[in-house]
Amino acid sequence: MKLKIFIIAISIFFIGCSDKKKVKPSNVTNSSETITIDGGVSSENTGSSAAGYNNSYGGLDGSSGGLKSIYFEFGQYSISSDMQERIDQNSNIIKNKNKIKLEGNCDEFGTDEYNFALGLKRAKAIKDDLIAKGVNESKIIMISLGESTPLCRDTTDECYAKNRRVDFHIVN
Amino acid sequence: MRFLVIFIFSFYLFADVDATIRIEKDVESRSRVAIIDDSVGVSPNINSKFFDILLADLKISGHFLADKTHYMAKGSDFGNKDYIIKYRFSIEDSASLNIQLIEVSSNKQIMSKNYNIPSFSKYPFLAHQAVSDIYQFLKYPSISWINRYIVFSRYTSKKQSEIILSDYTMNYRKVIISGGLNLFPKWADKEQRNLYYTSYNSLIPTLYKLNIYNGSKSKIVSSEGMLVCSDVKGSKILVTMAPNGQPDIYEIDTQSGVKNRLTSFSGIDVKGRYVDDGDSMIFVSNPLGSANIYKKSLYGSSISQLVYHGKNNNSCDAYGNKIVYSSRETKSGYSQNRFNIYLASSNGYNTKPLTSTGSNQLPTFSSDGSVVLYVKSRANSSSIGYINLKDLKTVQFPISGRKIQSLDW
Repeated sequence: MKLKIFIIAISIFFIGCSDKKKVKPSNVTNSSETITIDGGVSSENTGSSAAGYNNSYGGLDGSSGGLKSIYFEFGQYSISSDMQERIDQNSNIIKNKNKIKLEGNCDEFGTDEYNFALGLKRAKAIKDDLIAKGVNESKIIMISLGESTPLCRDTTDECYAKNRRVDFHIVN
Repeated sequence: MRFLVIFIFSFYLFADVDATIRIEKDVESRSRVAIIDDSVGVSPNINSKFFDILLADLKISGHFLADKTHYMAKGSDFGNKDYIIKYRFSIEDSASLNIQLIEVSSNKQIMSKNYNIPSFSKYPFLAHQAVSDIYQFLKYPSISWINRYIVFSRYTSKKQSEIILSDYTMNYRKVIISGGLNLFPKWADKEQRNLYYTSYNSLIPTLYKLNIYNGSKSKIVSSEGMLVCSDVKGSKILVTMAPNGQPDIYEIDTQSGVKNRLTSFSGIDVKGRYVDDGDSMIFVSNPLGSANIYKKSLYGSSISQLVYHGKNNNSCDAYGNKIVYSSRETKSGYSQNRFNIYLASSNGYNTKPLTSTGSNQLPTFSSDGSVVLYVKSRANSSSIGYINLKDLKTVQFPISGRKIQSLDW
């Protein structure tokens, strides 16, 4: 008898619910997400990236809309003097736009939580510089992407340098 | 001669481990065990995997000296063993296991249990549950942590990632969130029913809490810039977020919604972990230019530096009054760096290296604090390792696919 009870208990423990069924996330409105419950563990497909920027890649590097990315030294978030001309050009374009998004990026070294903060500090340095150049603060949205969006995957210093950058995107 | 054979055997068992692992001198005190396979009708490939998982489970602590020979039901002399584990593994719609523990000296079956799991792919958990039950039966220290899920995220392509559930050996894996950029999974409860994760799929990063059993999902908080849940204490969580573009650590009461900003340094503050009695935290900051480990009271302003070595210490975890952290010990900022993991008390004393070779990162305590998980990276591969803090035994399992972005267990 004890053995039967144990078998039942261990079966319950090992997550019952073997039927597959699809449900809508209960607390998400206007969502196209689908969650598949399978063996007690749900799978969620959140669809493709929903960022609302102009993704034409008409600009240079990782930026779009004719804007130019700004690059940083290893582990740093201060803007080097040779990047100022790019920021000046970008600020002239941005002044005529409603909203822009700054995406901070990092190379693959270090843990990702620290890299997300580092990418954000890079974006914040650009934002502060744009404000100093007369861009309205309310036009600027920042997000850090850590090491999730590399432009280059080679194991060279030149490649790593391409990934330490802030990209500019015009938000529609 | 016998000692030499055992020495070689032990060295082989723990080959490819970190150099700090001692060659055990107490092998004679461990219980010698052989595993007999009594399974019928299971494909050799799966059965071989199942045997390997049982063997790994037995090797995870220093209590068993497990014979790695895959014995079949008949024809061997086990007179030099203390125990025999006899198992019958079967697969139909579900996976089932009968396991028997036989004491060789008395030739008596001293334990027998049956297990069943509805989802065949979860069969590694049958082995884990059975071996942890054997530990409990023999009154050895608990290894129940081997029954827990590991949840981790990894990138799949640009701005794309997936969040995966696995067992500790990585033999069971299931993608639970895919599509878009969803990162930093963190268990929300000890029972591993709910997890927090950050969605980077809209203009503003958003932290969600997801019930993995019924799919219900609730929004916790949004923040411009970045958002990471670093630690959980009941209904309170430590998060790194940046409502004004400045990454700082906040404590959020998820029931009341009250936010308490804990750091205000103008640089980087991330990876807050509750420590001691939960009234303090350790975290990673860069006031001296590179990442290092610091500690502060949740309710005071004084901050103390805990680590005084290494070039860059950007990952840490805490359990009670113990901390673990990874430390870069080479000068180069680039690849081929050596990262080692250290154990210390929460006041920074009694520092002890846990690894000594290669790149070892993301140290994380088990739910009972007895084991430290870490990720070891090599040129073209990586593995997940476990260090038993009592006897410094280490086991490693290869991780296929891209490197782990973040994990919790």
